[in-house]
Amino acid sequence: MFRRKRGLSLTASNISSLVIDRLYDEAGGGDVAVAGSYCDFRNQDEQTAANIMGAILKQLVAREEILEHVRAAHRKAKKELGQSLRLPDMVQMVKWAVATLPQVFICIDALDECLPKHLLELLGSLKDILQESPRTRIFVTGRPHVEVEIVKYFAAAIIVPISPGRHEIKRYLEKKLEMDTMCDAMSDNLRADILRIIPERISEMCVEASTVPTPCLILC
Amino acid sequence: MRTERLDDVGNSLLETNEFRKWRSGEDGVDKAVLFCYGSPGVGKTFLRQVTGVPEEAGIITDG
Repeated sequence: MFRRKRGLSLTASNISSLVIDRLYDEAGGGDVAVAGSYCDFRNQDEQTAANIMGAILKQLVAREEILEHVRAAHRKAKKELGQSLRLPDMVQMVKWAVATLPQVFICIDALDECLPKHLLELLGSLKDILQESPRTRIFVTGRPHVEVEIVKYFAAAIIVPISPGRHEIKRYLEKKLEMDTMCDAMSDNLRADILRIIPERISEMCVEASTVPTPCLILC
Repeated sequence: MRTERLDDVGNSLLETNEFRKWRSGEDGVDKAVLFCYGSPGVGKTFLRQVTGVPEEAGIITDG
């Protein structure tokens, strides 16, 4: 259901990957569990809160530290209800799994690609888990308009804007140009123009996009 | 995944006080959620190549 995605990126998804890597590095295989999921608008109908919770749960129960009764409850529920576990059941099992671990990080990327009804259920579920296990840390990414929904559930959420600087865009372009297989079509002048103009234009777009009302951002 | 990512791009977030405090949990449950948002003008329209979490995160693909 959730696809792995690959390639170079400057986006919030890249940030999400960075964060997960950092959390893993710091954990060093110790007492920290990191579970992640990626939302994809092409699978919106299937990406219900229950399915996303299921993805989180599967990653958590794969750990040896998880108590057998959590695994057994997972197996039993799957056997009885198939793949269509109810959201409350899924959330309860995630709570059990989280409670067996010293610390859990839940990372969900591209929340804006969830259908609104699924997003609200997902945020409600995360809040539920957090209330029961306050040591849990939740990292989410998305387009700016999702902030409205997030603060409904997490009024004091830490909110950080991400936009690549010109040097990052330039480095990205340099890397892409290195991988260009049509070298004959490239000249020094064209390469210089690409590295000069695109970072300028995109930096301008960042500023403009940040000042556009939310409904317009959704349409972009 | 990390081998496909550009070094130092995006790393600044990891060095911020916001990330450090969120990671350590020193501000308690009220600050348990970190939301990073990106402009659609950058990420979605022009520069978005796909990426994802590392293999060891075990994203589910059973659907």
